[in-house]
Amino acid sequence: MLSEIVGDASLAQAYVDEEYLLTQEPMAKIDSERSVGDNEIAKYINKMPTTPEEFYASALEVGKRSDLTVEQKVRLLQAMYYALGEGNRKVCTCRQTLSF
Amino acid sequence: MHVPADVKFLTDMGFDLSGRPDYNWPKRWGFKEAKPIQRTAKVLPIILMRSGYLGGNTFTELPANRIPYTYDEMSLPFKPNVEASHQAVRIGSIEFYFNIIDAIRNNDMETLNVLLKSNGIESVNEVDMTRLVASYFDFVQKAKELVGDVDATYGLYGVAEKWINEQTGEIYLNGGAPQYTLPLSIMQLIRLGIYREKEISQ
Repeated sequence: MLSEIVGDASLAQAYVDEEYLLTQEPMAKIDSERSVGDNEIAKYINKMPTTPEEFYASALEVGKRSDLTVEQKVRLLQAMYYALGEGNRKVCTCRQTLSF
Repeated sequence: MHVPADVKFLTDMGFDLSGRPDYNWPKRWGFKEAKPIQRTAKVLPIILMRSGYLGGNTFTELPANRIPYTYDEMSLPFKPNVEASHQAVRIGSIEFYFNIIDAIRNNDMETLNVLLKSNGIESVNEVDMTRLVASYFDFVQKAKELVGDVDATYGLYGVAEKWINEQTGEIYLNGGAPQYTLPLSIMQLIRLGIYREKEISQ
């Protein structure tokens, strides 16, 4: 797909390789920090969402809560987002209909 | 879907009454300098790209000779999410776009449907037309409020502004990617036959 965008397979591979090298170390650091932070913040929610639909509903509830600080809300949203996992973070179909 | 990359991108309130994050967006609707899209400045991209749902009307373009613009370049304050990325290919001519906008701003459903029919696009009904006209004039009003004295008749373009902490001067996001904000959402542009959504393999 990337080669389709850049129009050159070797150039596309160079981008991918560079991106891979640039992200490995920071991502490992983020992952290790994330697991600790997520466990701690996850106690503020009864159940982590497992679908985009559940995520949107839960996210709005989190945003409205008065027992959390703004920082706690942001961390909780991030934990919910990571808990969804890759492949499950598309736009909710409830927001994606072709209409006026 | 998107979540804030950091609390520093939010206003002091943090979240609005509906529970959505309340972002402290850069001034001028996020443009470094907003320029009018005009018949004499035909700048609509061939392939548009938006990180977020298609109901939005701000997007960048897919560059031909480099990787897609990053969230830092687009000044987007979210955790990067490739699954939120959408692309659409322009299938209508630039003239078609300008004529569609003229019909909407003149509240001329008959002309709009003639244009749509000539391009094989399903016609709109009165309810559709009311919504199109309303969203068009909402855009014009918002452009006046956020950007000021600029001709927003056919939309605005420019580059994304830096995201700066106005108190400290610290740069959070660098901006610089091309940016377009149109009177119609991408969903509306697709429905009216100006763009077609492009499948992206992740």
